[in-house]
Amino acid sequence: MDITLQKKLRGGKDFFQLDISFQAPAGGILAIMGPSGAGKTSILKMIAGLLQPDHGRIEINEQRWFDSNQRINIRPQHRSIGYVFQEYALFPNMSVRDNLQYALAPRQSPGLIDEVLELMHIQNLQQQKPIALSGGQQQRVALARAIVRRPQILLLDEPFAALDKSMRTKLQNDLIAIHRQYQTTTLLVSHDPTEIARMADEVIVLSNGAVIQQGKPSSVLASGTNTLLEGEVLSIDQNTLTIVSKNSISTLQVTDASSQYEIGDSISISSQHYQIKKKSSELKSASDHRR
Amino acid sequence: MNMSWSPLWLSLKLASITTLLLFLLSIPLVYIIYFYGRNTRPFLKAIVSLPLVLPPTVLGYYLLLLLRPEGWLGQLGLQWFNTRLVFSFPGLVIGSIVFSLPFMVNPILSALENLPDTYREAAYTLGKSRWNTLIYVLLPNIKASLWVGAVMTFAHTIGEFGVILMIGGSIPDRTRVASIAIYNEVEMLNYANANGYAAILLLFSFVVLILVYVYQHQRPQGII
Repeated sequence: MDITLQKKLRGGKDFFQLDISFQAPAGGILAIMGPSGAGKTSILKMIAGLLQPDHGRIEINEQRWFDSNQRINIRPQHRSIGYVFQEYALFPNMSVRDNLQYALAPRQSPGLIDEVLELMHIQNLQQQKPIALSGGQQQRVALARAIVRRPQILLLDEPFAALDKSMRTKLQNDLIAIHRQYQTTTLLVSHDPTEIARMADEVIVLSNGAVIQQGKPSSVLASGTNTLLEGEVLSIDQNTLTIVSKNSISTLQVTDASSQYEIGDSISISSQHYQIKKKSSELKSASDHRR
Repeated sequence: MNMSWSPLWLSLKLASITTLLLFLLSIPLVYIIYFYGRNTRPFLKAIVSLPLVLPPTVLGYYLLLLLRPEGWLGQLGLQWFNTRLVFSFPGLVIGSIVFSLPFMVNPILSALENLPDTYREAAYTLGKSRWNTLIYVLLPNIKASLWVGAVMTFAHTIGEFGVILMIGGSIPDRTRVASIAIYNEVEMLNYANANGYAAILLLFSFVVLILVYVYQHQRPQGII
């Protein structure tokens, strides 16, 4: 898989230029990590054909799906992809089995449905409607629906972000098992260093629309530029910052916190340093501090 | 009181045929606006919604121009079906379809726009065409709005007056629908008959609205 993409994207109020190029190991799992708003989902959508890059080239198994120079742009329907959306996107009007049945191409055998249902441990749910399922169950169905077509590549957009830790671990194991069986080249968007370390063969790190690192998870994650925590300052008490992030509240001990930060500042912390951005851009743009 | 049932029967027939034809017509129309109207959508929506704001006489006047024997549609009716469209039941059906267009199309369109984009995108990644996606994924998830559109079209057609008067006149058993009959009876000072028609229409409209709201109450639009 050989990808070069350029696209002007919207990040909050401003636009930024996404300009990346990477290869993914055939049959392997490539993780994409980076702060939210870095364009990770847009990359998956461009590969799927749901979003058109301004310039670039997408080549999968020697088939060219997109090439701005040669004006090639294969429609999403004709790209062999399995896409698991962040919010699952199961069809509420169809039962679990019907969701998989709908996904199947006309020439494919219905036996594939049972095979995948069994692989994902959801045979007992096949007559249920998605609304009756828990988050973890919905995620299994979404994965099952994505792989039942036997796509050439699997695109996973933070598939486990909304699940609790034990459910996440179980599903990660299932996904590893599936990957072992089908050897589908997989792109995994993830925030979670543990997940990436467990699952990915390779990882790329995005920042400001560019790939700043690519390599084995062990070396990239250890290098310390990856983000551990992102959030907003909730309260300040002398040397203690309370930060609210996506799912949790954390406190940090920072020398003389009350003079450096204000409530509402957004903050991102990596293993080596943390950055702070003011709410309004006319104040300080961005400054680095050593911890 | 010697009230004829013919106007009520005619109203019912007109509303049923209009609702059925308009439903079938609105699906391809919605398809075009939803999938192809990326840049032209405000323009297309404005055209569809025109009957909401136009005085019925304005709409009726232009329809009259179209439907009369020298008009574009009128000629088509004469040549292909050997039917005069103006002051006839088929003409009323055409007029009602135009007049009720927003009542069918708008609820369906706004329900489609409120569905998460990912349903459509997921269907595309599963190799499904736009038409297939609309029929098997999108429309089944907005059933409530399809019902509301159909019921509102039906009720609105029953209550139509100005357009019908302009293009249909008041020919007994052919174009004299219930709403026109009331006007007629009042003009002839038959208040008892007018009272009968009016009470039936009032009751009917009230029951229809109750049914719509009970249905919406039981099945909230936002399923997901």
